[in-house]
Amino acid sequence: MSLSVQQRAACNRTLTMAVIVTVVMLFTGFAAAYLERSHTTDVWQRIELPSVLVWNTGVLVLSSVVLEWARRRGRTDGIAWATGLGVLFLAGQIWSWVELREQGVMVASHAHASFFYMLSGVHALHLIGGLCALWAARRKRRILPFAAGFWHVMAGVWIYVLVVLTVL
Amino acid sequence: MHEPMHEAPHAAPTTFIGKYIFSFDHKVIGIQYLLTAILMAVVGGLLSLMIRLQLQHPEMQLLGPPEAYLAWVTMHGTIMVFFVVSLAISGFANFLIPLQLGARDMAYPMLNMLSYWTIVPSVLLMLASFFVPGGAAAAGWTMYPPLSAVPEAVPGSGLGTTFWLLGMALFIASFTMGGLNFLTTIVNCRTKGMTMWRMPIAVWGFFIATVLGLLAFPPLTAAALMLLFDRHGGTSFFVTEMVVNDQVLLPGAEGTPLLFQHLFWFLGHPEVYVLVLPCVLMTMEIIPVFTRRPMFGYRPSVWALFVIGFLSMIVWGHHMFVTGMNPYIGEYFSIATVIITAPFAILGVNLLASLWRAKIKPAVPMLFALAVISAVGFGGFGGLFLGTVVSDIYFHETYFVVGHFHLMIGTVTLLSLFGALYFWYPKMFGRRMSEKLGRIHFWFTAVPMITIFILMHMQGLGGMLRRTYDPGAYDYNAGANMMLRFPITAMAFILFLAQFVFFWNFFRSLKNGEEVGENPWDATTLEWTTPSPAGHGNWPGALPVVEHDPYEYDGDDFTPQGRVVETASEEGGNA
Repeated sequence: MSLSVQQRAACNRTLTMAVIVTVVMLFTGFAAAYLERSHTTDVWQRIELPSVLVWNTGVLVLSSVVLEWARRRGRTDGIAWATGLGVLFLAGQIWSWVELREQGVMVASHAHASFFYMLSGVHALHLIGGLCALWAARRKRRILPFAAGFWHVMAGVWIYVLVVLTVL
Repeated sequence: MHEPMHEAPHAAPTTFIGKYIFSFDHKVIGIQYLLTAILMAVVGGLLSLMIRLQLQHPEMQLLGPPEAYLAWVTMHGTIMVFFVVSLAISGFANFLIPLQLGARDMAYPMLNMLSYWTIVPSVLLMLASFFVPGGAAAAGWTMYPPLSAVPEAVPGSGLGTTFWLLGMALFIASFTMGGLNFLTTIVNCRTKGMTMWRMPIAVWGFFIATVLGLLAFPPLTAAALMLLFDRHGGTSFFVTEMVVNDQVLLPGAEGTPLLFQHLFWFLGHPEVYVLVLPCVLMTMEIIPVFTRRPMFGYRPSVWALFVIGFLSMIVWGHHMFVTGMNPYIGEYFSIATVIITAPFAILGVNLLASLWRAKIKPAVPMLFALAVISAVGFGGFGGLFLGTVVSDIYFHETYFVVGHFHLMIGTVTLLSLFGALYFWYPKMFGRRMSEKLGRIHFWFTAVPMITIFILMHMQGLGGMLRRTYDPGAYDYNAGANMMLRFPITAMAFILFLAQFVFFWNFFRSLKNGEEVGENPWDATTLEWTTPSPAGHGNWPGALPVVEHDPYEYDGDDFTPQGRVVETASEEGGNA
């Protein structure tokens, strides 16, 4: 590996931007499908989303804030905390699925439930990618800005998903 | 910010496997893509011959039951669109981007290697799907539900469709990895003096196509995921209750198949431009070399590209005029579609004006370029009729559509790719392909290809429907439509046989072709300033420095776009 540091950073910036655009287009596609589906059905039955999601969203936002603080101060322990909070968020997501399951709401029960399971699942997969990037960034500090950028966007995407599922 | 990539981002390979199999070198990966595309072209071509034979002799039931016919059509479309043309474009993009921009390699060579080796299982899945119970997918390359969503719908809707979806998932993953690499390399790794406005126009083509692909593929991924949920999770995003013989197949399902069509064509239409634009622009790249004059209208063409790219994202509905959409929306899609004619006309003027009063050197790549121009012309005219709602309602689902899209994304692309292959072959292998065999290949490829699809337009005007495996079963086909059937089939066979001339030429020239130096065509762009074939790191010494626009030709004189300054103090050589 012998690209100059600046060049590697410039490449990483372009790559991260492109990845973010791709992910945003993916969720835009889902949102468009949701909008079309929820407005063309006669009876659009909503499920009640588990209350754990409120706390969970807080955890993800907190993780983002901690990560940003760690990035600005150059604190490795901060990255570890943010990663831990990310794992906690994933655990919370699984909890929300378990809770829905106990209420008898399965993936095929209602279209709204299908969208919830699918969107939270796809978001979780992307978040796992983000966690790997954060884990790597503990050692390789130069990829931290890009891992952090992706992490913030994933927090934003989760809020977007929640808004789509509750408002539209 | 861009800066020269002074050293290759990976060490020179030492083993056979590192050099030719799991290579990090963009040139090897490019050639791997091209060879895979050629292999799949044989499969896709054989499928088209089987389709023609079936249409010619429906009474023989060559392919088995009617559903089997649909499976061959589906796989022919899928293979040709995604595994021949797309892969060949990826091949050229891989090969050309670093060489034309003066970079040592792609920005992420490892990602590039993974991108190719993700395609391999994808190809294997597609090929394997012919042999699973029920046969290959049969819902058309567009995979519309319910045929794709309900495993019991037709035989191919079972395992065949599952294989198809998995294959496509891998394809999209591979395309995304490749696209991220192309984009990053173009934006960040150009050599000194290579501003965006000095890039060879083919690179602009790869750039726009990549941007379009990265924007358009994710919604298709979303659609494919929902389809998988419908197939295997019991959800109803796309399926309705479906009453067949008074029997409700999927009680409680209340989805909408139209939703899939919207999501599909939101990818599908930009995908057309992902295929056509890089091909047309590679042709544009070739023309100045053989007219020995600067390209006409480089900047307007690039601006036109941006406009075409933008418009292509907002016209998907013109594939869906007959789905019962609101007439006002149809009118909007129609107007937006016809507006694309304007930027495309700029590209057309570029192509034609570049030829005006030029002393054309009729080498094989140039012959293919000329054929591409005529195919773009014929294909474009058909598009006007299909882009307008009132006429499309009549032509939809007829051979007019088949003829049109084969001219645009079949003929234009394949002829461009052949031209590009003859043109860059010396840079790939250090030898030239035979001109004589090239000419034979050209005439027996270009003429049948264009004629076949023009005749199909005529059948469409006569009302012949797509997707029927026995056109003779309908009385209205009895006249001209049936008369045109034989010439089309005969020419399809001539076309296929002519490709053996190409294979012979391609593989024989690897050993016996005339050896060439750095710049056999007297061309200006950077790839011709390094030995043929280029070694590890692309330039043996320092990187070339760009001092000129890409197409400064003046008759037999020409000013290379850049030159290698050996006295430069920069550390460069690592070959």
